[in-house]
Amino acid sequence: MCLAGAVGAGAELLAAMPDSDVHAYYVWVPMLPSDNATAAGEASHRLAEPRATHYWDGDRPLSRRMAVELGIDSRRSAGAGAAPAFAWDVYLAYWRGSASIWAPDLWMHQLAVDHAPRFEPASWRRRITEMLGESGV
Amino acid sequence: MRELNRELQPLLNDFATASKHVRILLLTSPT
Repeated sequence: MCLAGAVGAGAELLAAMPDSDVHAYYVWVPMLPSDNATAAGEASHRLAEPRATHYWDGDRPLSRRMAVELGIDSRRSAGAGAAPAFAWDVYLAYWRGSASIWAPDLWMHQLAVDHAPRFEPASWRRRITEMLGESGV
Repeated sequence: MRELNRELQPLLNDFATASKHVRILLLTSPT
């Protein structure tokens, strides 16, 4: 899924909510041999949006820490190999005022884990809409 | 696009600065 998942969870969500109070942080993580800073830069240009910011996690400091925080063992997922566990194809959401990036209020994934819901675009959009409504918009 | 290789602080700062907003964080590969 990879880039397609990010489009569904990020770009399409933002496009469907042009006036919404949502900020998106795309963290591009190397997973495939073709994943490098150039590819991440191209993806960031393709998904450029005033409410979006892009980061390249080339050595995976963020995605490794997030795997620990979310209890993800990516080695169970196809293609991850024997590298230290890292989180990718995960989509996290935070209420207004949530202070810790390591403690999302909602997260979905496309991995071989079963302690959080798998990503489903309609469900993701509905949950984000609920967060916006319940937090005052 | 910002680099996270040396430190996570750029993202952590941006995340904290936007704390009045609903925020989404998307970790995925670029291809």
